[in-house]
Amino acid sequence: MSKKSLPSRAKYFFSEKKWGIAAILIGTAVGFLSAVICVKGHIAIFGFNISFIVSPLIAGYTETYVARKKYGKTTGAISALLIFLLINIGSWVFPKEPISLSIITLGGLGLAFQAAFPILVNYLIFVIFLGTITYVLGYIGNILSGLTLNLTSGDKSKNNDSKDETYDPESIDLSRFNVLAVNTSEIHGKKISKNYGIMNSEYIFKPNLELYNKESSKDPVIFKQMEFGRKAALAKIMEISQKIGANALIEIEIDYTDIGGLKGSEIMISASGTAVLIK
Amino acid sequence: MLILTTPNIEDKNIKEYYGLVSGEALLGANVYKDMFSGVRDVVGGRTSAYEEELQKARDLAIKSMEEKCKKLGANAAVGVRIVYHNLGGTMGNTILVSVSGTAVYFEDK
Repeated sequence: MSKKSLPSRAKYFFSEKKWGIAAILIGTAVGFLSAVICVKGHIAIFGFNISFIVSPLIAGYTETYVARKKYGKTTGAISALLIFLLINIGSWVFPKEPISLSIITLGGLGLAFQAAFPILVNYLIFVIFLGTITYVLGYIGNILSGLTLNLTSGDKSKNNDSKDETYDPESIDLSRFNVLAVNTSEIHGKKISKNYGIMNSEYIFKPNLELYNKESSKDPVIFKQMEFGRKAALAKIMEISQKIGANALIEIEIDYTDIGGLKGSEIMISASGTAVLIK
Repeated sequence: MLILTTPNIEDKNIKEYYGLVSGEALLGANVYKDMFSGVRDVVGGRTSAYEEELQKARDLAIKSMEEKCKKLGANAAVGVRIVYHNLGGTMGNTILVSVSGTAVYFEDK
């Protein structure tokens, strides 16, 4: 096929995509017709002709409908874009009645823009706009919760201070427990003679994200916190296992979960495993 | 260093278990990269910037786990699991890649 001459390749291209092109042309024609009807019939809301909004939409829908029926896939509403450009150039460059810049005109322009570039505008609205709103609301909520905490229980923060905040992972020695902790389902060369059931524990901490944001710090505080939290969670289940007479923990799973709502201000590390007696 | 997701090593005897080891890496996706990959999603392409970053983070996590294994005297990690977590709520732009497994010492049969 690559050896074919340019005209025959162009012919092949057009014969393959003729319905796609036809769909775009039909969409453009219908959109243009609707614009003409709107302009001739003076269909306007507050002096703003609705063809700005309706015509690209009609063109896009018609094109998509024809393309789906005949071409098999959508063509991307190219005619909507064409009509949008046509109408805007036509009305801004050759105004029969001058358009005054008001809120309604701007709103209409926004809607016309939305009709022409639906995915881009939806991305702007949903991701950036809503994202900013959630962030701001979360920020306000954090401030409010901080204020109420200070007002209702001023001594609660002192309790938090007394909690071990150094997060030194070396301070927890897991080898003092006579329990073998693995995350596999079996231990090679050993037989499980007794099952004690599932063991669970959690450790919740507030992550320190300040230092990790700086590029310069190589070992962020949050790593130490994670290591400390994991060891604390493991130590808890190992201690319980040893107490009930098990000498191994199999199938240990460690899970990290974000808790604390929209802004997710705390991390829970949970460890679970099965306590067994091996021989 | 052998890194396996299976509980056993074929044709080898696991001599000793050293317990749980793990490694992690944080991936701080920055705003500009976010925007860029967002735009690329709209245009319709693979967001390879993220994929590359994730690959780097995973390699880092596995490397730090390997180091811990070596420190214990192990020559393999079995039952390895890789998990990804999104930290920071709905606006979350921090991805935690965590790897955990069991450090073992194996010998030929």
